[in-house]
Amino acid sequence: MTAAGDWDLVRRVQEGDAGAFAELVRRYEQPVIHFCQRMVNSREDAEDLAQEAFVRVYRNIGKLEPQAKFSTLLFGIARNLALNHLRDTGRRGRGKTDALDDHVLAAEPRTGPVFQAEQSEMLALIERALNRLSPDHREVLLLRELQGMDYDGIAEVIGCRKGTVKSRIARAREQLRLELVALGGLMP
Amino acid sequence: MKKHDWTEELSALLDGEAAQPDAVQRAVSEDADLRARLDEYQRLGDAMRALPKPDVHPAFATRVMASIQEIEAAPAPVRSLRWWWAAAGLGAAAMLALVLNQGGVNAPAVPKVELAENPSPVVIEEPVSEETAIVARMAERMESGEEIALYEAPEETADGVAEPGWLDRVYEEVYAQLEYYGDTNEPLLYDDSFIEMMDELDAQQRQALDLLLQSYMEAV
Repeated sequence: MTAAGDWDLVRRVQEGDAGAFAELVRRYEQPVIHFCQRMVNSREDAEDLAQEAFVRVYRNIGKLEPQAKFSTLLFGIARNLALNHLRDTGRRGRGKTDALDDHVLAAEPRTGPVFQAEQSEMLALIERALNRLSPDHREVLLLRELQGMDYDGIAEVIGCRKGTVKSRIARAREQLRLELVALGGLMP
Repeated sequence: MKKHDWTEELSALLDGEAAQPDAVQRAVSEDADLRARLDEYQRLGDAMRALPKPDVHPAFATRVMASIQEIEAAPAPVRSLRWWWAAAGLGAAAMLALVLNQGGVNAPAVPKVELAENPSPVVIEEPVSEETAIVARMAERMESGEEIALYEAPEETADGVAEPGWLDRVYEEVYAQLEYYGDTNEPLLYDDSFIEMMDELDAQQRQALDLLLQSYMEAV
């Protein structure tokens, strides 16, 4: 669905069609929850944050005017809520506890062909390495790699210049690589 | 001679955002270390995209819509700002003079604002707002794209760690609210707790808050 389709739904909501907003929620619920989950490392909190993000959009729907993409507006709000949550829960710095990491590792399937097990292990390591990044680095990587946003979109979401996004993503990638090396997931 | 750091160019090349992709490609083709680094970045991206996506409960959208209906069913606060604009106009000169006397915009410490122990209740005929005059003005300017920042309130004073009073607590909330939304292009959206907090302030408290914000604002 294109951004124009999103704004068409917004216009319908503005005209009183609440069902159009439910359609917007269904369209973006998974990517927003996924983003929040990776940011705050809690599925339950991620759902609450995503819900709050949608509610905030709805409450201000009358003020919204078509921008480049509806998703950048939505992710901008979700991102702010996630950072707020990290600040409030004292997890703004480096990521979560190892106990939670172990839970993630334990949750990964360990059966099946060897290559699947290796991939599963690699994904678990990636999750651990991501959680060791600062929120500033984590958010740009998530927006780029998971949401596929371009630098202009990311700049809009986090409110900085495109050049800052470019350098921050580069530093985040390098930091992620170093974290994986430290975790034994990559050769130094 | 120091070797050129290609990290940013490699990363941008991967994202299709390199300013000079041909030059980066040439460097990669001539340097095995760069090729290996580019390959690692590519694999990291592939691995991130392979991370399991959450299964969203089918009722999530219903829950969101129910939450919205619940909010809509509640009596909505009236958010006229006119009264506070008028109040700001009347008090502006006195407030500015007080700010300047206390160190102006560069003052590192929280200005002392004398308030009565038990301020007399002020009868306000007009509906209260979620914003004070200065918060409203800051929000308006931010939404027009202007960069405005607040100083973070110091955690310690000359006397040691300050016991946060109501003004410090309110300031922290305003600071957090504006800091998060100030650098984005999205509309300034206030959360419920912020609106409730503002609604609970009386006229003197609002004036004190405006004074504090005025002294901590940059680029105004």
